[in-house]
Amino acid sequence: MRNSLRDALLEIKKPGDKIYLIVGDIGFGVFEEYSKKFKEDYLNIGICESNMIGFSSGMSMNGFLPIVYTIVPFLTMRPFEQIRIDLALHKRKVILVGVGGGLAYGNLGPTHHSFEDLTLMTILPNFAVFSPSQPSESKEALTAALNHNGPSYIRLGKNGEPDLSKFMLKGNSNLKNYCYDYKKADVTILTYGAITYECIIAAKELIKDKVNVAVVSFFKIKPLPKDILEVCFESKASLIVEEHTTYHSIGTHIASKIMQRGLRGKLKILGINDKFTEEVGSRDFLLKAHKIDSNSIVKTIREMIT
Amino acid sequence: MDKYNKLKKTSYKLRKDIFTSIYKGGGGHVGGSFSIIDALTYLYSEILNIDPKNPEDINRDRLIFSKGHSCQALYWVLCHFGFYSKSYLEDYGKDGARFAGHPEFEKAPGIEISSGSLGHGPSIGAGIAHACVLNNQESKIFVIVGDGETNEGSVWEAILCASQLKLNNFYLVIDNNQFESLDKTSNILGIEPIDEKLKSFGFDVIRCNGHDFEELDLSFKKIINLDSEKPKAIILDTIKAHGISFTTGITKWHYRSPTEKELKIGLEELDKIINA
Repeated sequence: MRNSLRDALLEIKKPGDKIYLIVGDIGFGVFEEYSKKFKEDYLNIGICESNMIGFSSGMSMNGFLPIVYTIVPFLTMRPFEQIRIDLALHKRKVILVGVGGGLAYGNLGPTHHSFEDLTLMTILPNFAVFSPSQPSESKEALTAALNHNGPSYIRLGKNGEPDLSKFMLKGNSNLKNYCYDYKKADVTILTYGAITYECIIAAKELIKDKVNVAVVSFFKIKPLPKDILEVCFESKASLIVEEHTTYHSIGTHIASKIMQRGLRGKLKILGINDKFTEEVGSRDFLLKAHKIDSNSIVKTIREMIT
Repeated sequence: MDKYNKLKKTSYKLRKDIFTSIYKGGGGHVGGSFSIIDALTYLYSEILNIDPKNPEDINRDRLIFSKGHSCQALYWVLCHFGFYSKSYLEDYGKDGARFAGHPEFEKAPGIEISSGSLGHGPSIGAGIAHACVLNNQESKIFVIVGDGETNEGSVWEAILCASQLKLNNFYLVIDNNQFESLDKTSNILGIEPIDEKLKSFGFDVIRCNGHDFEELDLSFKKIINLDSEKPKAIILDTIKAHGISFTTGITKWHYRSPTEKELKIGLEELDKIINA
């Protein structure tokens, strides 16, 4: 996702436009081509996230469109008040791009994990929030952020996420339906971000056992497309899976909307359960440790339908 | 009447407006407003290239008022220099009023940013200054912070950044009134020698009496005319709540509403200076 966002930026960026890339001393080898091609529109501002956000706000007050890039927790949590005031309150068109959403940084440990960021970024008025599930959605998210007249946050995984198009049955600009038609499925998994792939693996395994599981992913987190709520209403049972805390999350937000309209089918949320990561290992290992890997998703769905 | 005397009379008239407004509104930051009002009066009169009739002009200078709690000074200075009428300030402190106790950028022309949480203005100002350099604009960016505000780490991040990027259009103006909210700055988180610190961070620095218009004039003009790649800092040695005998340098006037009697005596004192 990181490289596909970089490629999308290289494709969209034109000499003399006002797009200006600011990195917080992160991205070795990622933005080399950009920084050579657009030397005047690139700045490694250093390890000073609070300043980086205020600075980007100031640049946007004078006609620039800053794209600000660093690792998710340092981008969203360290300078949260600058984001709240300098960007959200001031309605500045600045695009924050965070790399390493969720458990992507694996064995770098809990300082580099982020499963609180979407709560923080979605509670801010004026913000648009995106969480791509696969490389091709990085460009969709960047394009949507460029079209949003205010601040945006794009939560990326890291790199090497698979292309999911071969599993896709149908999709529109708001959602993609994988594995089984959600209107006919026994259970629909609603998900976003890199964990979508785990959901697809789980769905394929269950389909083999004649449990008809659909996966619906969305990358527009805020504003949340109405289609997503409709998917929940049209499904017999829904499981929301997220690589994020479930303690005030996108899942609990969807659940709250559904409950206010009147829940028709079953609804369950699977995510990180209000705890930091104590184990050490790769993302795959940590998904298992937090019980949000494909096997845990299979187990949860089996429990839901019995 | 010479220029400096005229400026002094203007700033003392504005103190009357501020004191009255805070009395009517039921509270406000007298201390920080009275310590910065002379410099604000000077800057809008003599330095800033901002047309009140065209306050959004991209080529204008910017005054980023980071010490937002002293907004009464900003509100009345902007009003005095024609950015809006007094009607904007009539309902201050009432429910449904235009202005809050900290400035908000969309509430009136001339207010560049919303501030109130300290330590935000320097980074915003550095970003504007950098954008001006990239755009070949000749605007000067003045960021006004309090001495207590420099306790914030983000101020020093911005100082490093302005120095690294050689933003010689960036002017950090420190209202060094030597008090924070509860005590003297030196008793809380001291900042001196602030001039030496800033020099070592790569700034051109000048220090002057922030209540003396002749010193303000000489200092600002000297630093603006320096042919240097460095960002600039002007340290204004000021006195908190300066201007009325019983408020000057007194901690409790950080945030307070005068009593009816204090208002009367205060206004009489200010009138004496204006009419001298």
